[in-house]
Amino acid sequence: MKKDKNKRLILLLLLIAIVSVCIAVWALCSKETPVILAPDRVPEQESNVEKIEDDADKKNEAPENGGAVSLTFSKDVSINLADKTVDLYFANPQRSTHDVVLQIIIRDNLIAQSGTISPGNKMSEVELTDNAAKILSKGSYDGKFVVHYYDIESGEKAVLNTEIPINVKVN
Amino acid sequence: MKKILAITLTLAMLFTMTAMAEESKQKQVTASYNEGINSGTIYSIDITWGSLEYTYNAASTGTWDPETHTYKNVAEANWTCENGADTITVTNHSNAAVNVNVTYTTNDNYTSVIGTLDKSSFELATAEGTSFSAAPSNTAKLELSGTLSSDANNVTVGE
Repeated sequence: MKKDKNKRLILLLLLIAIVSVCIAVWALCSKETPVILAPDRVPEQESNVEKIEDDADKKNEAPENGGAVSLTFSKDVSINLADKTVDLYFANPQRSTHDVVLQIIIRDNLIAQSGTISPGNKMSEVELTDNAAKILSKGSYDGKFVVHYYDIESGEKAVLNTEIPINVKVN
Repeated sequence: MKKILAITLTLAMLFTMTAMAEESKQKQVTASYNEGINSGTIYSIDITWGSLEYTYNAASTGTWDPETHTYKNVAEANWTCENGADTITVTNHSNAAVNVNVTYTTNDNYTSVIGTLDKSSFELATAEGTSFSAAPSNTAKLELSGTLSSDANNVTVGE
């Protein structure tokens, strides 16, 4: 009798263990990669921009219905968790034919996103997203700039974008 | 008198020279190190792209020519675009080399359209030592193949 009881108990525990493993595997496998969507139409102008000094006026030559942009940037980015700000250098010189929107992404998480940076402007600071302030901790990360382009006249998003690897230091 | 004057002048000169020598000995020569400006790496790239607009020309059975009993202007399905519409050019104005990866992602709604790049990656050397107009540059071309449904008009098939 006692032996039967023990057998049943062992079987029950085994069953619980198997179910737990299955749930854990399902949870891991069903984790979806978050989708980070850039706006389809050009958003509002970024307020944290300055004019680029001594910037050339002449536009790049762009193929018909195409685009020609110039990007100037530093790959070193610094995040201040207390201020919830990102220090960076990113410029869209006057010779570009498109507005740009800059995203900063770390491990598929949107850390910061600018408003529209028009040609002739540069940015040295942008605000962290609320989510970023929660998930980041002090240290160094590999991240990326994702640059989206928008037609200056129609506001339509170009089919092409640019990803740039960056070094992110969180303080 | 003359002798006294000469001796006096000599002594005066001697004292003056001695005083000057002492001043020279006491005058210190100092030097300070002024650190030059180290630019660091400044990345600057130009990206130029064509319209990336393509036309899918469905297969044509041609026109029957009763004179020759053949079909004229028979054509297989093909993709065409304007000259230069299919190119993406990257130019490096940085003081460091850059690696460029070019990727094409198919729109899930148009998986029958296949995009192929003639170059998926290339390295551009540093622009140091070059003029602005001769900066390192390279171009990738995007070719489309596959089929497109007949109701498609100005649709985004990939990015």
